Amino acid sequence: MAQGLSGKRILIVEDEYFIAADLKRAFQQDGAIVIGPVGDVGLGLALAEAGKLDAAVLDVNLEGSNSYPIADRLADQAIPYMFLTGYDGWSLPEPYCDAPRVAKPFTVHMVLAHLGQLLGSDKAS
Amino acid sequence: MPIVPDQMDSEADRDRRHEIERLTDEVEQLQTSLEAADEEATQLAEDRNRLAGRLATQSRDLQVADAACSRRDPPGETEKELRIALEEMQVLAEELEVANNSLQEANRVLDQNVAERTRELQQKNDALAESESRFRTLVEGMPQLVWRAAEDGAWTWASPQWQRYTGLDPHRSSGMGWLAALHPDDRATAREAWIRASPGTTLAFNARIHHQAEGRYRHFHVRAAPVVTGDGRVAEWLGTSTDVDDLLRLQERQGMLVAELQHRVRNILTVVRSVFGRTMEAGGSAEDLADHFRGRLDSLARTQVIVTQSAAGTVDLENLVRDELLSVGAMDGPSLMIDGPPVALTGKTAESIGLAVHELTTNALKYGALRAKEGRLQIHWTINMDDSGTCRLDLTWIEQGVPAVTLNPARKGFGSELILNALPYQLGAETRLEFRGGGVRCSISVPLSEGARFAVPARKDR
Repeated sequence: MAQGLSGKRILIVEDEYFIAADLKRAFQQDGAIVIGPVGDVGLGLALAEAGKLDAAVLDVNLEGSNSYPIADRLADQAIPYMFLTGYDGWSLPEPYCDAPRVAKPFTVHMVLAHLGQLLGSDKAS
Repeated sequence: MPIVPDQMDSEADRDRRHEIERLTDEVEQLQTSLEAADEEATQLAEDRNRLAGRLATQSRDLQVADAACSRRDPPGETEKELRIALEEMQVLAEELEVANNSLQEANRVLDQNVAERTRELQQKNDALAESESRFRTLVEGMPQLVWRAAEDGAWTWASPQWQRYTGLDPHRSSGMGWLAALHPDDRATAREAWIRASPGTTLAFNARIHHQAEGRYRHFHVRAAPVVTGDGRVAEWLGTSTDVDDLLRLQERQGMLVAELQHRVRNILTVVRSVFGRTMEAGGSAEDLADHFRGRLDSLARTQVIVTQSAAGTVDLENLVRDELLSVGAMDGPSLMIDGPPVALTGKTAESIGLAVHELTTNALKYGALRAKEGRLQIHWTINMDDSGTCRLDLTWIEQGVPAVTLNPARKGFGSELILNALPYQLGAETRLEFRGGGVRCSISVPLSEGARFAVPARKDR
Protein backbone atom coordinates (compact mmCIF):
# COMPACT_ATOMS: atom_id res chain seq x y z
CA MET A 1 0.00 0.00 0.00
CA ALA A 2 3.05 2.27 -0.02
CA GLN A 3 2.69 5.30 -2.26
CA GLY A 4 -0.93 4.27 -2.93
CA LEU A 5 -2.00 7.91 -2.97
CA SER A 6 0.98 8.98 -5.00
CA GLY A 7 0.56 12.48 -6.33
CA LYS A 8 -3.08 12.68 -5.36
CA ARG A 9 -4.30 16.01 -4.06
CA ILE A 10 -6.38 15.41 -0.96
CA LEU A 11 -8.25 18.10 0.96
CA ILE A 12 -8.50 17.66 4.73
CA VAL A 13 -11.17 19.56 6.64
CA GLU A 14 -10.97 18.75 10.35
CA ASP A 15 -11.12 21.16 13.28
CA GLU A 16 -9.31 18.95 15.80
CA TYR A 17 -5.63 19.74 15.36
CA PHE A 18 -4.13 16.43 16.40
CA ILE A 19 -6.48 14.42 14.18
CA ALA A 20 -5.79 16.71 11.25
CA ALA A 21 -2.05 16.50 11.81
CA ASP A 22 -2.18 12.68 12.07
CA LEU A 23 -4.13 12.43 8.81
CA LYS A 24 -1.81 14.84 7.06
CA ARG A 25 1.22 12.88 8.12
CA ALA A 26 -0.32 9.55 7.09
CA PHE A 27 -1.45 10.86 3.67
CA GLN A 28 1.93 12.41 3.01
CA GLN A 29 3.66 9.17 3.95
CA ASP A 30 1.49 7.50 1.34
CA GLY A 31 2.65 10.00 -1.26
CA ALA A 32 -0.32 12.33 -1.32
CA ILE A 33 -0.25 16.09 -1.60
CA VAL A 34 -2.29 17.41 1.28
CA ILE A 35 -4.42 20.50 0.70
CA GLY A 36 -4.96 22.13 4.09
CA PRO A 37 -5.70 20.90 6.65
CA VAL A 38 -8.22 23.54 7.66
CA GLY A 39 -10.72 23.54 10.50
CA ASP A 40 -13.11 26.16 9.18
CA VAL A 41 -16.04 25.87 6.72
CA GLY A 42 -15.14 29.10 4.99
CA LEU A 43 -11.56 28.11 4.38
CA GLY A 44 -12.66 24.62 3.35
CA LEU A 45 -15.10 26.02 0.77
CA ALA A 46 -12.43 28.27 -0.65
CA LEU A 47 -10.08 25.33 -1.09
CA ALA A 48 -12.84 23.16 -2.56
CA GLU A 49 -13.64 25.82 -5.10
CA ALA A 50 -10.01 26.40 -5.99
CA GLY A 51 -10.35 23.00 -7.57
CA LYS A 52 -7.71 20.55 -8.73
CA LEU A 53 -8.65 18.10 -5.99
CA ASP A 54 -8.68 14.33 -6.35
CA ALA A 55 -10.54 13.61 -3.14
CA ALA A 56 -11.47 15.10 0.23
CA VAL A 57 -11.83 13.98 3.82
CA LEU A 58 -14.42 16.04 5.74
CA ASP A 59 -15.15 16.17 9.43
CA VAL A 60 -18.94 16.45 9.55
CA ASN A 61 -19.06 18.59 12.63
CA LEU A 62 -16.84 21.64 12.68
CA GLU A 63 -16.94 23.82 15.77
CA GLY A 64 -20.29 25.59 15.50
CA SER A 65 -21.17 24.45 11.96
CA ASN A 66 -20.99 21.47 9.60
CA SER A 67 -19.16 20.63 6.40
CA TYR A 68 -22.20 19.88 4.23
CA PRO A 69 -21.72 23.01 2.08
CA ILE A 70 -18.25 21.77 1.23
CA ALA A 71 -19.64 18.30 0.39
CA ASP A 72 -22.18 19.92 -1.93
CA ARG A 73 -19.52 21.98 -3.64
CA LEU A 74 -17.37 18.89 -4.17
CA ALA A 75 -20.33 16.89 -5.49
CA ASP A 76 -20.94 19.65 -8.01
CA GLN A 77 -17.44 19.09 -9.35
CA ALA A 78 -17.74 15.29 -9.14
CA ILE A 79 -14.89 15.18 -6.62
CA PRO A 80 -15.26 12.14 -4.36
CA TYR A 81 -15.28 12.72 -0.60
CA MET A 82 -15.74 10.89 2.65
CA PHE A 83 -16.97 11.94 6.08
CA LEU A 84 -15.34 11.64 9.46
CA THR A 85 -18.10 11.58 11.94
CA GLY A 86 -18.81 11.46 15.63
CA TYR A 87 -22.45 10.64 14.87
CA ASP A 88 -24.13 7.40 13.86
CA GLY A 89 -25.47 7.20 10.33
CA TRP A 90 -29.01 7.82 11.46
CA SER A 91 -28.37 11.37 12.50
CA LEU A 92 -26.87 12.52 9.22
CA PRO A 93 -29.42 14.37 7.08
CA GLU A 94 -31.02 12.74 4.04
CA PRO A 95 -28.69 13.73 1.19
CA TYR A 96 -25.58 12.72 3.14
CA CYS A 97 -26.47 9.60 5.03
CA ASP A 98 -25.30 7.37 2.18
CA ALA A 99 -21.93 9.05 1.67
CA PRO A 100 -18.83 6.97 2.55
CA ARG A 101 -17.91 7.65 6.14
CA VAL A 102 -15.66 6.59 8.96
CA ALA A 103 -16.74 6.90 12.56
CA LYS A 104 -14.57 8.37 15.27
CA PRO A 105 -12.44 7.18 16.86
CA PHE A 106 -10.85 5.75 13.73
CA THR A 107 -7.50 4.37 12.74
CA VAL A 108 -5.58 6.06 10.00
CA HIS A 109 -5.54 2.74 8.18
CA MET A 110 -9.33 2.78 7.96
CA VAL A 111 -9.24 6.24 6.43
CA LEU A 112 -6.56 5.27 3.96
CA ALA A 113 -8.47 2.17 2.93
CA HIS A 114 -11.65 4.18 2.31
CA LEU A 115 -9.70 6.82 0.47
CA GLY A 116 -8.15 4.18 -1.73
CA GLN A 117 -11.62 2.90 -2.59
CA LEU A 118 -12.86 6.39 -3.33
CA LEU A 119 -10.04 7.03 -5.73
CA GLY A 120 -10.11 3.50 -7.13
CA SER A 121 -13.80 3.67 -8.00
CA ASP A 122 -13.22 7.09 -9.48
CA LYS A 123 -10.61 5.66 -11.79
CA ALA A 124 -12.91 2.83 -12.81
CA SER A 125 -15.67 5.27 -13.90
CA MET B 1 -86.26 21.49 30.75
CA PRO B 2 -83.41 20.55 28.37
CA ILE B 3 -80.11 21.92 29.54
CA VAL B 4 -78.18 21.65 26.33
CA PRO B 5 -78.35 24.89 24.28
CA ASP B 6 -80.83 24.66 21.43
CA GLN B 7 -78.53 25.64 18.62
CA MET B 8 -76.17 22.81 19.46
CA ASP B 9 -78.85 20.01 19.32
CA SER B 10 -77.56 16.59 18.54
CA GLU B 11 -79.39 13.42 17.65
CA ALA B 12 -78.81 12.09 21.16
CA ASP B 13 -80.55 15.15 22.59
CA ARG B 14 -83.48 14.70 20.25
CA ASP B 15 -83.84 11.08 21.29
CA ARG B 16 -84.00 12.07 24.92
CA ARG B 17 -86.60 14.74 24.22
CA HIS B 18 -88.76 12.25 22.28
CA GLU B 19 -88.69 9.91 25.24
CA ILE B 20 -89.86 12.70 27.56
CA GLU B 21 -92.64 13.69 25.13
CA ARG B 22 -93.81 10.12 24.85
CA LEU B 23 -94.07 9.74 28.62
CA THR B 24 -95.85 13.11 28.89
CA ASP B 25 -98.43 11.91 26.32
CA GLU B 26 -98.99 8.73 28.30
CA VAL B 27 -99.68 10.72 31.44
CA GLU B 28 -102.19 12.91 29.61
CA GLN B 29 -103.95 9.85 28.27
CA LEU B 30 -104.18 8.33 31.73
CA GLN B 31 -105.59 11.59 33.07
CA THR B 32 -108.19 11.61 30.33
CA SER B 33 -109.14 8.02 31.22
CA LEU B 34 -109.40 9.06 34.85
CA GLU B 35 -111.72 11.93 33.99
CA ALA B 36 -113.90 9.56 31.90
CA ALA B 37 -113.99 7.08 34.76
CA ASP B 38 -114.94 9.93 37.12
CA GLU B 39 -117.86 10.83 34.84
CA GLU B 40 -118.98 7.21 34.75
CA ALA B 41 -118.86 7.08 38.54
CA THR B 42 -120.94 10.24 38.78
CA GLN B 43 -123.41 8.72 36.30
CA LEU B 44 -123.64 5.47 38.24
CA ALA B 45 -124.11 7.44 41.48
CA GLU B 46 -127.02 9.29 39.88
CA ASP B 47 -128.53 6.00 38.68
CA ARG B 48 -128.19 4.56 42.16
CA ASN B 49 -129.90 7.61 43.68
CA ARG B 50 -132.67 7.30 41.16
CA LEU B 51 -133.12 3.60 41.91
CA ALA B 52 -133.00 4.31 45.64
CA GLY B 53 -135.68 6.93 45.08
CA ARG B 54 -137.82 4.45 43.15
CA LEU B 55 -137.20 1.86 45.81
CA ALA B 56 -138.46 4.27 48.45
CA THR B 57 -141.47 5.16 46.30
CA GLN B 58 -142.23 1.51 45.59
CA SER B 59 -141.82 0.68 49.25
CA ARG B 60 -144.35 3.34 50.16
CA ASP B 61 -146.75 2.15 47.43
CA LEU B 62 -146.28 -1.37 48.67
CA GLN B 63 -147.15 -0.37 52.25
CA VAL B 64 -150.25 1.45 51.03
CA ALA B 65 -151.21 -1.51 48.90
CA ASP B 66 -150.53 -3.85 51.79
CA ALA B 67 -152.70 -1.82 54.11
CA ALA B 68 -155.41 -1.77 51.45
CA CYS B 69 -154.92 -5.47 50.80
CA SER B 70 -155.08 -6.57 54.42
CA ARG B 71 -158.51 -4.82 54.67
CA ARG B 72 -159.90 -6.34 51.52
CA ASP B 73 -158.10 -9.35 50.00
CA PRO B 74 -156.96 -12.66 51.49
CA PRO B 75 -153.17 -12.43 52.25
CA GLY B 76 -151.97 -15.23 49.92
CA GLU B 77 -151.39 -13.99 46.31
CA THR B 78 -150.68 -10.31 46.96
CA GLU B 79 -148.21 -11.13 49.73
CA LYS B 80 -146.31 -13.55 47.51
CA GLU B 81 -146.08 -10.93 44.77
CA LEU B 82 -144.88 -8.38 47.30
CA ARG B 83 -142.21 -10.67 48.67
CA ILE B 84 -140.90 -11.43 45.18
CA ALA B 85 -140.76 -7.72 44.33
CA LEU B 86 -138.91 -7.01 47.60
CA GLU B 87 -136.41 -9.79 46.91
CA GLU B 88 -135.77 -8.45 43.41
CA MET B 89 -135.17 -5.04 44.89
CA GLN B 90 -132.65 -6.42 47.33
CA VAL B 91 -130.75 -8.19 44.53
CA LEU B 92 -130.66 -4.94 42.57
CA ALA B 93 -129.28 -3.10 45.62
CA GLU B 94 -126.55 -5.70 46.08
CA GLU B 95 -125.57 -5.55 42.42
CA LEU B 96 -125.36 -1.79 42.72
CA GLU B 97 -123.02 -2.07 45.68
CA VAL B 98 -120.72 -4.52 43.81
CA ALA B 99 -120.64 -2.16 40.85
CA ASN B 100 -119.70 0.70 43.22
CA ASN B 101 -116.83 -1.33 44.70
CA SER B 102 -115.49 -2.25 41.26
CA LEU B 103 -115.53 1.37 40.25
CA GLN B 104 -113.64 2.45 43.35
CA GLU B 105 -111.08 -0.29 42.76
CA ALA B 106 -110.60 0.80 39.12
CA ASN B 107 -110.09 4.38 40.27
CA ARG B 108 -107.46 3.34 42.80
CA VAL B 109 -105.49 1.33 40.23
CA LEU B 110 -105.63 4.23 37.80
CA ASP B 111 -104.30 6.65 40.41
CA GLN B 112 -101.47 4.25 41.17
CA ASN B 113 -100.50 3.94 37.50
CA VAL B 114 -100.43 7.68 37.04
CA ALA B 115 -98.31 8.14 40.16
CA GLU B 116 -95.87 5.48 38.96
CA ARG B 117 -95.52 6.94 35.48
CA THR B 118 -94.97 10.39 36.94
CA ARG B 119 -92.24 9.05 39.24
CA GLU B 120 -90.58 7.29 36.32
CA LEU B 121 -90.61 10.46 34.29
CA GLN B 122 -89.11 12.45 37.15
CA GLN B 123 -86.34 9.88 37.65
CA LYS B 124 -85.42 9.94 34.00
CA ASN B 125 -85.26 13.72 34.07
CA ASP B 126 -83.05 13.69 37.14
CA ALA B 127 -80.73 11.12 35.61
CA LEU B 128 -80.51 13.19 32.48
CA ALA B 129 -79.75 16.36 34.45
CA GLU B 130 -77.05 14.56 36.42
CA SER B 131 -75.50 13.09 33.31
CA GLU B 132 -75.42 16.48 31.61
CA SER B 133 -73.91 18.04 34.71
CA ARG B 134 -71.25 15.36 34.91
CA PHE B 135 -70.43 15.78 31.26
CA ARG B 136 -70.03 19.52 31.65
CA THR B 137 -67.87 19.24 34.74
CA LEU B 138 -65.63 16.74 33.02
CA VAL B 139 -65.35 18.69 29.82
CA GLU B 140 -64.75 22.04 31.46
CA GLY B 141 -62.15 20.62 33.83
CA MET B 142 -60.10 18.84 31.16
CA PRO B 143 -57.14 20.59 29.60
CA GLN B 144 -57.99 19.01 26.26
CA LEU B 145 -60.24 20.81 23.80
CA VAL B 146 -63.43 18.76 23.60
CA TRP B 147 -65.95 18.80 20.78
CA ARG B 148 -68.85 16.85 19.30
CA ALA B 149 -69.46 16.15 15.66
CA ALA B 150 -71.80 14.35 13.30
CA GLU B 151 -70.60 11.42 11.19
CA ASP B 152 -69.15 13.57 8.42
CA GLY B 153 -67.07 15.72 10.76
CA ALA B 154 -69.56 18.59 11.02
CA TRP B 155 -69.19 19.96 14.53
CA THR B 156 -72.31 20.31 16.65
CA TRP B 157 -70.70 21.55 19.86
CA ALA B 158 -67.36 22.88 21.12
CA SER B 159 -66.17 23.23 24.73
CA PRO B 160 -65.54 26.68 26.25
CA GLN B 161 -61.83 25.85 26.20
CA TRP B 162 -61.90 25.57 22.41
CA GLN B 163 -63.37 29.03 22.09
CA ARG B 164 -60.90 30.51 24.58
CA TYR B 165 -57.98 28.81 22.84
CA THR B 166 -58.76 29.48 19.20
CA GLY B 167 -60.93 32.58 19.47
CA LEU B 168 -63.57 30.85 17.32
CA ASP B 169 -67.03 30.98 18.89
CA PRO B 170 -69.31 27.91 18.80
CA HIS B 171 -71.34 29.25 15.91
CA ARG B 172 -68.32 29.78 13.68
CA SER B 173 -66.85 26.44 14.72
CA SER B 174 -70.02 24.52 13.84
CA GLY B 175 -70.29 22.49 10.66
CA MET B 176 -66.84 22.51 9.04
CA GLY B 177 -66.06 25.96 10.42
CA TRP B 178 -63.58 24.49 12.92
CA LEU B 179 -61.13 23.91 10.05
CA ALA B 180 -60.42 27.64 10.13
CA ALA B 181 -58.50 27.16 13.39
CA LEU B 182 -56.19 24.60 11.79
CA HIS B 183 -53.01 25.44 9.94
CA PRO B 184 -53.85 25.73 6.22
CA ASP B 185 -51.42 22.92 5.36
CA ASP B 186 -53.07 20.56 7.83
CA ARG B 187 -56.69 21.02 6.73
CA ALA B 188 -56.46 18.39 4.00
CA THR B 189 -55.16 15.86 6.55
CA ALA B 190 -58.13 16.61 8.79
CA ARG B 191 -60.69 16.27 5.99
CA GLU B 192 -59.16 12.97 4.82
CA ALA B 193 -59.23 11.58 8.34
CA TRP B 194 -62.98 12.30 8.54
CA ILE B 195 -63.60 10.71 5.15
CA ARG B 196 -61.86 7.55 6.33
CA ALA B 197 -63.62 7.52 9.72
CA SER B 198 -66.05 4.66 10.35
CA PRO B 199 -67.73 3.19 13.46
CA GLY B 200 -65.20 0.38 13.81
CA THR B 201 -62.24 2.73 14.00
CA THR B 202 -61.08 5.67 16.08
CA LEU B 203 -60.50 8.93 14.29
CA ALA B 204 -56.93 10.16 14.89
CA PHE B 205 -54.66 12.67 13.20
CA ASN B 206 -52.10 15.36 14.01
CA ALA B 207 -52.54 19.00 13.09
CA ARG B 208 -51.42 22.45 14.07
CA ILE B 209 -54.05 24.60 15.74
CA HIS B 210 -53.85 28.35 16.11
CA HIS B 211 -53.43 29.61 19.67
CA GLN B 212 -55.00 33.03 19.72
CA ALA B 213 -53.25 34.21 22.92
CA GLU B 214 -49.79 33.38 21.60
CA GLY B 215 -50.54 34.25 18.01
CA ARG B 216 -48.95 31.09 16.70
CA TYR B 217 -49.76 27.52 15.74
CA ARG B 218 -49.10 24.68 18.16
CA HIS B 219 -48.98 20.95 17.42
CA PHE B 220 -52.05 18.95 18.47
CA HIS B 221 -53.06 15.31 18.49
CA VAL B 222 -56.74 14.99 17.55
CA ARG B 223 -58.83 11.93 18.43
CA ALA B 224 -62.52 11.09 18.29
CA ALA B 225 -64.61 8.03 19.11
CA PRO B 226 -68.12 7.18 17.94
CA VAL B 227 -70.97 7.28 20.49
CA VAL B 228 -73.06 4.21 19.67
CA THR B 229 -76.74 3.94 20.71
CA GLY B 230 -78.48 0.84 22.06
CA ASP B 231 -79.56 -0.26 18.62
CA GLY B 232 -76.06 -0.05 17.14
CA ARG B 233 -76.42 3.32 15.40
CA VAL B 234 -73.69 5.98 15.62
CA ALA B 235 -75.38 8.90 17.34
CA GLU B 236 -72.39 11.23 17.14
CA TRP B 237 -68.59 11.48 17.46
CA LEU B 238 -67.02 12.77 20.66
CA GLY B 239 -63.55 14.21 20.18
CA THR B 240 -60.58 15.70 22.04
CA SER B 241 -57.69 17.75 20.75
CA THR B 242 -54.57 17.52 22.93
CA ASP B 243 -51.69 19.98 22.91
CA VAL B 244 -48.50 17.99 22.16
CA ASP B 245 -46.39 20.97 21.14
CA ASP B 246 -44.17 20.97 24.24
CA LEU B 247 -43.81 17.22 24.06
CA LEU B 248 -42.73 17.41 20.43
CA ARG B 249 -40.17 20.10 21.12
CA LEU B 250 -38.79 18.20 24.08
CA GLN B 251 -38.46 15.09 21.94
CA GLU B 252 -36.67 17.07 19.27
CA ARG B 253 -34.38 18.58 21.85
CA GLN B 254 -33.73 15.19 23.37
CA GLY B 255 -32.82 13.80 19.96
CA MET B 256 -30.41 16.66 19.47
CA LEU B 257 -28.86 16.21 22.89
CA VAL B 258 -28.33 12.51 22.34
CA ALA B 259 -26.64 13.14 19.00
CA GLU B 260 -24.56 15.91 20.58
CA LEU B 261 -23.48 13.68 23.41
CA GLN B 262 -22.54 10.92 21.02
CA HIS B 263 -20.49 13.36 19.00
CA ARG B 264 -18.68 14.70 22.05
CA VAL B 265 -17.83 11.28 23.38
CA ARG B 266 -16.47 10.06 20.08
CA ASN B 267 -14.49 13.23 19.63
CA ILE B 268 -12.83 13.15 23.00
CA LEU B 269 -11.90 9.50 22.50
CA THR B 270 -10.30 10.43 19.21
CA VAL B 271 -8.32 13.19 20.87
CA VAL B 272 -7.19 10.77 23.57
CA ARG B 273 -6.00 8.31 20.94
CA SER B 274 -4.14 11.09 19.21
CA VAL B 275 -2.50 12.31 22.40
CA PHE B 276 -1.59 8.75 23.26
CA GLY B 277 -0.03 8.26 19.84
CA ARG B 278 2.12 11.32 20.26
CA THR B 279 3.10 10.41 23.77
CA MET B 280 4.28 7.02 22.55
CA GLU B 281 6.17 8.55 19.66
CA ALA B 282 8.13 10.76 22.06
CA GLY B 283 9.55 7.59 23.57
CA GLY B 284 11.16 7.21 26.91
CA SER B 285 10.86 4.57 29.58
CA ALA B 286 7.59 2.78 30.11
CA GLU B 287 7.21 4.69 33.36
CA ASP B 288 7.77 8.02 31.61
CA LEU B 289 5.24 7.15 28.95
CA ALA B 290 2.68 6.09 31.54
CA ASP B 291 3.35 9.25 33.52
CA HIS B 292 3.02 11.63 30.60
CA PHE B 293 -0.03 9.97 29.21
CA ARG B 294 -1.77 9.71 32.53
CA GLY B 295 -1.13 13.38 33.22
CA ARG B 296 -2.57 14.44 29.88
CA LEU B 297 -5.52 12.15 30.29
CA ASP B 298 -6.19 13.65 33.73
CA SER B 299 -6.08 17.14 32.27
CA LEU B 300 -8.57 16.23 29.57
CA ALA B 301 -10.77 14.52 32.13
CA ARG B 302 -10.73 17.59 34.35
CA THR B 303 -11.94 19.92 31.63
CA GLN B 304 -14.53 17.41 30.40
CA VAL B 305 -16.01 16.97 33.86
CA ILE B 306 -16.30 20.69 34.51
CA VAL B 307 -17.65 21.44 31.03
CA THR B 308 -20.39 18.86 31.31
CA GLN B 309 -21.19 19.79 34.91
CA SER B 310 -21.99 23.44 34.44
CA ALA B 311 -25.34 24.15 32.83
CA ALA B 312 -23.75 26.62 30.46
CA GLY B 313 -20.92 24.18 29.79
CA THR B 314 -18.22 26.59 30.89
CA VAL B 315 -15.03 26.45 32.92
CA ASP B 316 -13.75 29.29 35.06
CA LEU B 317 -10.18 30.04 33.94
CA GLU B 318 -8.82 30.65 37.41
CA ASN B 319 -10.28 27.36 38.63
CA LEU B 320 -8.78 25.62 35.63
CA VAL B 321 -5.31 27.02 36.31
CA ARG B 322 -5.44 26.39 40.06
CA ASP B 323 -6.69 22.83 39.54
CA GLU B 324 -3.78 22.03 37.26
CA LEU B 325 -1.27 23.45 39.72
CA LEU B 326 -2.97 21.77 42.64
CA SER B 327 -2.74 18.43 40.88
CA VAL B 328 1.04 18.70 41.16
CA GLY B 329 0.89 20.10 44.65
CA ALA B 330 1.66 23.72 43.83
CA MET B 331 -0.16 26.38 45.79
CA ASP B 332 -0.22 30.14 46.10
CA GLY B 333 2.69 31.68 47.86
CA PRO B 334 5.61 34.01 47.32
CA SER B 335 6.84 31.78 44.50
CA LEU B 336 3.49 31.38 42.77
CA MET B 337 1.19 34.16 41.65
CA ILE B 338 -2.03 33.59 39.79
CA ASP B 339 -4.04 36.63 38.86
CA GLY B 340 -6.62 37.85 36.35
CA PRO B 341 -10.30 38.89 35.91
CA PRO B 342 -13.08 36.29 36.02
CA VAL B 343 -13.46 34.49 32.67
CA ALA B 344 -15.70 31.52 31.88
CA LEU B 345 -14.42 29.51 28.91
CA THR B 346 -16.45 27.16 26.77
CA GLY B 347 -15.85 23.82 25.10
CA LYS B 348 -12.88 23.60 22.82
CA THR B 349 -11.20 26.70 24.30
CA ALA B 350 -11.41 25.30 27.80
CA GLU B 351 -10.10 21.94 26.72
CA SER B 352 -7.17 23.33 24.75
CA ILE B 353 -6.11 25.92 27.31
CA GLY B 354 -6.46 23.29 30.01
CA LEU B 355 -4.16 20.95 28.17
CA ALA B 356 -1.68 23.78 27.49
CA VAL B 357 -1.61 24.78 31.15
CA HIS B 358 -1.10 21.13 32.01
CA GLU B 359 1.91 20.87 29.74
CA LEU B 360 3.41 24.07 31.11
CA THR B 361 2.83 22.90 34.67
CA THR B 362 4.39 19.48 34.17
CA ASN B 363 7.34 21.07 32.45
CA ALA B 364 7.75 23.59 35.28
CA LEU B 365 7.54 20.79 37.79
CA LYS B 366 10.16 18.65 36.12
CA TYR B 367 12.59 21.31 34.94
CA GLY B 368 11.37 24.75 35.81
CA ALA B 369 10.09 27.13 38.45
CA LEU B 370 8.11 24.59 40.40
CA ARG B 371 11.26 22.56 40.93
CA ALA B 372 14.03 25.10 41.39
CA LYS B 373 14.50 26.38 44.93
CA GLU B 374 14.62 29.98 43.82
CA GLY B 375 12.03 29.49 41.14
CA ARG B 376 9.10 31.88 40.79
CA LEU B 377 6.05 31.46 38.60
CA GLN B 378 3.69 34.22 37.51
CA ILE B 379 0.50 33.42 35.68
CA HIS B 380 -1.40 36.50 34.63
CA TRP B 381 -4.21 37.25 32.20
CA THR B 382 -6.26 40.17 30.93
CA ILE B 383 -9.09 40.71 28.49
CA ASN B 384 -8.53 43.08 25.63
CA MET B 385 -10.40 44.19 22.58
CA ASP B 386 -8.45 44.01 19.36
CA ASP B 387 -8.78 46.38 16.41
CA SER B 388 -11.58 44.40 14.83
CA GLY B 389 -13.64 44.60 18.03
CA THR B 390 -13.06 40.99 19.06
CA CYS B 391 -12.46 40.34 22.73
CA ARG B 392 -9.35 38.32 23.39
CA LEU B 393 -7.96 36.59 26.43
CA ASP B 394 -4.25 37.39 26.81
CA LEU B 395 -2.54 34.97 29.15
CA THR B 396 1.14 34.97 30.11
CA TRP B 397 3.14 32.34 31.91
CA ILE B 398 6.50 33.54 33.22
CA GLU B 399 9.02 31.43 35.07
CA GLN B 400 11.97 33.07 36.76
CA GLY B 401 14.90 32.03 38.88
CA VAL B 402 15.48 28.77 37.09
CA PRO B 403 19.03 27.60 36.47
CA ALA B 404 19.97 26.46 32.99
CA VAL B 405 19.13 22.79 32.45
CA THR B 406 19.39 20.48 29.43
CA LEU B 407 15.96 20.13 27.92
CA ASN B 408 14.27 16.82 27.38
CA PRO B 409 13.29 16.89 23.70
CA ALA B 410 10.41 14.52 24.35
CA ARG B 411 8.94 16.89 26.89
CA LYS B 412 9.33 19.79 24.54
CA GLY B 413 7.65 17.92 21.69
CA PHE B 414 4.03 17.54 22.62
CA GLY B 415 3.63 20.69 24.70
CA SER B 416 5.33 22.83 22.06
CA GLU B 417 3.27 21.35 19.28
CA LEU B 418 0.15 21.99 21.29
CA ILE B 419 0.94 25.59 22.12
CA LEU B 420 2.59 26.61 18.87
CA ASN B 421 0.44 24.65 16.39
CA ALA B 422 -2.74 23.27 17.90
CA LEU B 423 -3.93 26.41 19.68
CA PRO B 424 -3.61 28.61 16.58
CA TYR B 425 -5.22 25.92 14.40
CA GLN B 426 -8.12 25.17 16.67
CA LEU B 427 -8.79 28.48 18.36
CA GLY B 428 -7.29 31.07 16.08
CA ALA B 429 -4.87 31.85 18.91
CA GLU B 430 -1.60 33.73 18.71
CA THR B 431 1.06 32.06 20.77
CA ARG B 432 4.70 32.46 21.75
CA LEU B 433 6.91 30.02 23.56
CA GLU B 434 10.43 30.66 24.77
CA PHE B 435 12.54 28.24 26.68
CA ARG B 436 14.90 30.04 29.00
CA GLY B 437 17.06 27.40 30.51
CA GLY B 438 14.67 25.04 32.22
CA GLY B 439 12.07 27.72 32.67
CA VAL B 440 9.55 28.89 30.15
CA ARG B 441 8.00 32.13 29.02
CA CYS B 442 4.74 31.64 27.20
CA SER B 443 2.02 33.95 25.93
CA ILE B 444 -1.32 32.88 24.55
CA SER B 445 -3.84 35.26 23.00
CA VAL B 446 -7.22 33.62 22.29
CA PRO B 447 -10.34 35.18 20.81
CA LEU B 448 -13.23 34.61 23.18
CA SER B 449 -16.20 32.78 21.67
CA GLU B 450 -19.90 33.59 21.98
CA GLY B 451 -20.47 31.26 24.89
CA ALA B 452 -17.67 32.63 27.03
CA ARG B 453 -18.56 34.99 29.87
CA PHE B 454 -16.39 37.86 30.91
CA ALA B 455 -16.42 41.58 31.58
CA VAL B 456 -16.10 43.36 28.25
CA PRO B 457 -13.28 45.89 28.41
CA ALA B 458 -13.79 49.48 27.30
CA ARG B 459 -12.56 50.22 23.83
CA LYS B 460 -9.11 51.72 23.91
CA ASP B 461 -9.12 55.34 22.81
CA ARG B 462 -7.08 55.89 19.69
